[in-house]
Amino acid sequence: MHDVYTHDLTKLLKPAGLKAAHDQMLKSNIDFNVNWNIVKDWSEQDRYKPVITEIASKDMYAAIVDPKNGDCHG
Amino acid sequence: MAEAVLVTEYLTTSMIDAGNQLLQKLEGSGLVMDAAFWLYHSEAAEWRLTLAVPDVDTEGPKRVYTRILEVLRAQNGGHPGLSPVNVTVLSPNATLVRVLASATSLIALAGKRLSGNRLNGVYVDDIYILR
Repeated sequence: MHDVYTHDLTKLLKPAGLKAAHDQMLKSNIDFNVNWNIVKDWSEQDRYKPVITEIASKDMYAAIVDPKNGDCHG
Repeated sequence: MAEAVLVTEYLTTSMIDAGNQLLQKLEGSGLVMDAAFWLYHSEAAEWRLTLAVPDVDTEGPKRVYTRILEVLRAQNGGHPGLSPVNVTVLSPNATLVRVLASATSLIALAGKRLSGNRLNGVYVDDIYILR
């Protein structure tokens, strides 16, 4: 239960029951792998960043909503 | 055959070696890096090879991660080595990178580990500077 008290997306995979499926996707799908690498870097501390570039914002958004290889698909 | 590098809660020499090998390959591919270090993420309880790459600001993280993945796949010949998910890219303008650069010469810090340090007001749990 303690494992869910985190903002770290990588750590949340296990308590969510998604770790095995996620690992398989990382191995088999390069586009998903790239998207996950972008998304995993999100931190709740990002709200304190003085600057987030437009391209970084667009890459993050695209990595999340990509209907085929995004991190909110399914 | 390349072997998988186990990235653990504890920094190991095999992680440091794998990081240095990847840096060489990335530089050989033309990727410019202003700094590189293993950084401990306490919330995830794991170390991540962190690269400060100017292209993150100009080309975006997607292109940079794509290039890194291509190098990792070529380096490992299809076999697992250092996992891409253990790599993080940053803008050279990220607070931590700027703090490291301003604290002292990064060259002087190469190969050094700083644990529980406050650098110019920024607390760093644990960091091992590669370059």
